[in-house]
Amino acid sequence: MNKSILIGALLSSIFAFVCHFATENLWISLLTFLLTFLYFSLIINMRFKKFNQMVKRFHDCYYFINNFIVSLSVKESISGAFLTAAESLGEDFLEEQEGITDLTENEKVVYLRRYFPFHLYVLFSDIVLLWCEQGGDILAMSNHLNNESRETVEYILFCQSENRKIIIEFSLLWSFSLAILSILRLVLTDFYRSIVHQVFYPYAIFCIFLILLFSIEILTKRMTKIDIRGWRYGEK
Amino acid sequence: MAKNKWKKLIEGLGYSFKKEIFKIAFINLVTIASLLLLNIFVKEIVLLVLSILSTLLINYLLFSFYNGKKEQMEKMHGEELIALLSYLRTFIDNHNNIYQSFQKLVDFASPWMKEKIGEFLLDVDSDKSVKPFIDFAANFSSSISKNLMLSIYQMIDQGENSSQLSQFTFLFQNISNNYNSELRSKKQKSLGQMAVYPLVGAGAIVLVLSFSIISVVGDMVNVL
Repeated sequence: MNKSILIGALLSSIFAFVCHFATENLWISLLTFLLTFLYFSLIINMRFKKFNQMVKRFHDCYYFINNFIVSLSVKESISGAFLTAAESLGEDFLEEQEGITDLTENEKVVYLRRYFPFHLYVLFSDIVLLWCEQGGDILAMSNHLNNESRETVEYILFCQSENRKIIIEFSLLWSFSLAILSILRLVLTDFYRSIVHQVFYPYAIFCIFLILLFSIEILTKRMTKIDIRGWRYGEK
Repeated sequence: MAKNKWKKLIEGLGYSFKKEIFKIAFINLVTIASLLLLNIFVKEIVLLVLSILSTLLINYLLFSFYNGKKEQMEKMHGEELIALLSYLRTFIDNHNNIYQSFQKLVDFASPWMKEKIGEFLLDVDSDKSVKPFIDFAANFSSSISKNLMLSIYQMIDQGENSSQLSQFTFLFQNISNNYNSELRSKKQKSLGQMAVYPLVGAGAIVLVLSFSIISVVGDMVNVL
């Protein structure tokens, strides 16, 4: 089962349990469960799928560029370098490659701008074309490209580590908030029975779960937004 | 004076000034007319005040749209300049001179940038002073672009020797580092703001419970 759906199932069970514990209202709890589960399975799942695809694609791009440049400097042949670099990539790339077997190696490098829609790849393909036209030392020509791709990889790692930190912080803070709700239910006991029977109370608690889902929405949006030049969100 | 400022801003964004002013006037007319009608039927002073405030708000939003768009465009142009610098550096590293490198840049630039580089190259052809470089830098909001263009001018002026090249590389590295650290701090800042939401949640929980307790106590007092 997908990781996002699994987390969604777990969280929706916890939310529904806390909601039922706090309101003693089965319908509101069921609604909370359904809403959370559907939100995670449909929206969050898709969002992280796209995000992971982008990160994977960038790493593939990074390895492809590195392998290509190293091979080109050794073999001094575009076709040899292309073959060596293509070997290191996964099945997605092989599928993409099947459709371009008729193209020349230079054309393949340019065509792959669609597969690697990053500024770095465009720069790389232009450097390769420039090398074909003017010659020169490919390692020196791509010196800046290597620095920039290394910096981008570091930036992605930084974002991923920041994401992990904020998830821990965010989960802890929300857990404390929901714990307050549960603890008060235990502490106030008989008095709580009267509170539960207030007409607005279950709806107010439901609204708190809506705020929780809204904050998860904002958090996941910010977590998955990584500025890699060339990649446009929503298009891929 | 203010009209000229708005005209410059709107036309700078690629819109027609007349069309945009007509659009704003039309929106205002429709809003004011519908609010006046509402005020005729419901004679409330609060509604009148709200109508004036909402008209002002709509105008504020309409006019701030252009400023927002301008900021967005300036950011895009700045990012494009940084992206193009990668090419410029590659061309320079590959033994092209600065002028040739700028000429080659045109193939990789957006239409807006193409136009600016074209104007810059034409200016450089006719004027060998620092002015074309400063004029080109004026198209970008960041001050670092001015430093960069001045450094490029010095490189050309002093014969593009190796020390000037390393100065350019140093400056370029600085720009690249600034850009990267800006991206990182932007990410940190946007995630750091997320801590507010659980606090809002906790506040809402406390508020709901307090309100419930007060109403239960109120019911009890009423019964007594």
